[in-house]
Parts: sequence; C-alpha cells; structure tokens
Amino acid sequence: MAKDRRREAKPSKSPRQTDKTMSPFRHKPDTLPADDLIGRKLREYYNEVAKEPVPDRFTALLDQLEGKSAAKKTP
Amino acid sequence: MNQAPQFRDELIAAIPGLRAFGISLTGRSDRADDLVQETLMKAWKHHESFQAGTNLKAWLYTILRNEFYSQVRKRSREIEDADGAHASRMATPPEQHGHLDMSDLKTALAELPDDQREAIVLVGAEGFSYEEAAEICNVAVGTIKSRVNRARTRLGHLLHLENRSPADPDVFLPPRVKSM
Repeated sequence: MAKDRRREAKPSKSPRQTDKTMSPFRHKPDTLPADDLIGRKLREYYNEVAKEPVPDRFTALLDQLEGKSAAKKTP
Repeated sequence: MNQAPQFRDELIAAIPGLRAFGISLTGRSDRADDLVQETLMKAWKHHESFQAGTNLKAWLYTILRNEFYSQVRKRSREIEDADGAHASRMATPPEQHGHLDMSDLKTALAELPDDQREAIVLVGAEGFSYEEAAEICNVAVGTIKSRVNRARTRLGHLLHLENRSPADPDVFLPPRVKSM
C-alpha cells in the first residue's frame, strides 16, 4: 500500500509487520517494508546450503577425532 | 577428558549453518568446507575450554570467523579468485554496482563490506541475536546493529527494493541492469 510506505519512512511497530513465521529468530529488529523481503531472501540463501546433507568428510573427521580420543584413554 | 557423544552430535548439528556462514565469508563452497574442517578440529581440540551450558553455536562460529580472518591476513598479498567477487579486501568501491545483475542475493551480498555482510548473515540468515552476533564478531552490540542497518539499506538499494511495494509481483524479479 503506497500510502503506508510513504508514512513508514521510520521503522514501524505495527503488529501487521510482525511475521509469525519468523519465530526462530529471537530478535526481529525494527524494519522498513523492504526488510521482510530481504529477510526472506537471506533465509532462502541460507537454506540453499543448510538443507544439504552433512558431507562425509566431516563425519569421517569426527570419527577420526573420536577414535584418537578413545585411544588416548586406553593405557 | 571424555568427549561425550553429545558434543559430537552438537557439532554435526551445527555443520550446515557453519557451511552457509563459511560461504558468505569466502564466496566458495570448497573454501567454506575447509574452514568448517578447521573449525571442527579446533573445537574438538579445545573442548575442555568450552564451558558446558554456554552457547556452543556462537563459540563454533567465533572459531570459524577467527580462522577465516587469520587466513585472510596470510593471503593478503595473494591474488584472489579471477572474478574477485569475494576478494580478501574490497576490490570494488561500494558505488560501482551499476553494471552487475543484482537479481541474485549472493551477488548483492558480495557487494557489501565484510563487516556488514557477516553481520547481516549472522542476524538475518543464521538467526543469531544481536548480542550473539556481537560476541561472535567481537564488537559492541550497537556496532552490530548499525552494520545490520547499513547492510539492510544497501541490500535494499542493490536489489532495487526501495521503491517497490512488497505486494508488487515483480519484486522478486528486479530489472536487469545493462552492462556498461
């Protein structure tokens, strides 16, 4: 709504601006209208990588590190 | 000292987010994964110095970030990738974005100075609070807030969002900017 955008040059605390789907985020800063989009794009960007399964190299590394730790404990 | 299996599980749970953060810092998934590798090794090695009950996630991100900047300092005389999108220093002054296609958030993020990019990724993408992001970046909370605000403004400008309504159907398809 064009009128709202012009009025909302300052951050708005209107409840309408609070997106409940963003609940995982503890702090939602005061936003300008564009920020909901930016927030969404940022989370899309994050999810692109975060949804990938954990590469084997990391589980293998942790296995290796755990094996070394166990070996140290055994006299 | 016994490394509880739980610690391993918590590390694994943090890996996807750490990879994403690594990519935002380095611009490359191979370098990001190398950073994650280093981070896991350091976290394991320094497990004893981590206080149970404090913020493991923030601790891991701090390790990764410190490792990144320590590598940047080592690389500071090396030539970065050909495309320079994530040069270890800002090669392009912020104003010179007009010739790039900003339809991609990743491209726009690359245009931000490092401190703004990491701040907005930690708060806006990774879901950290301002306080946690301040802890990770080792600055005051106010500094993080101002970096996030500046990053938001800049991204809005780069993505051509400032004159559009969120309801505008074209808002996810900003106009192509012609190359110069």
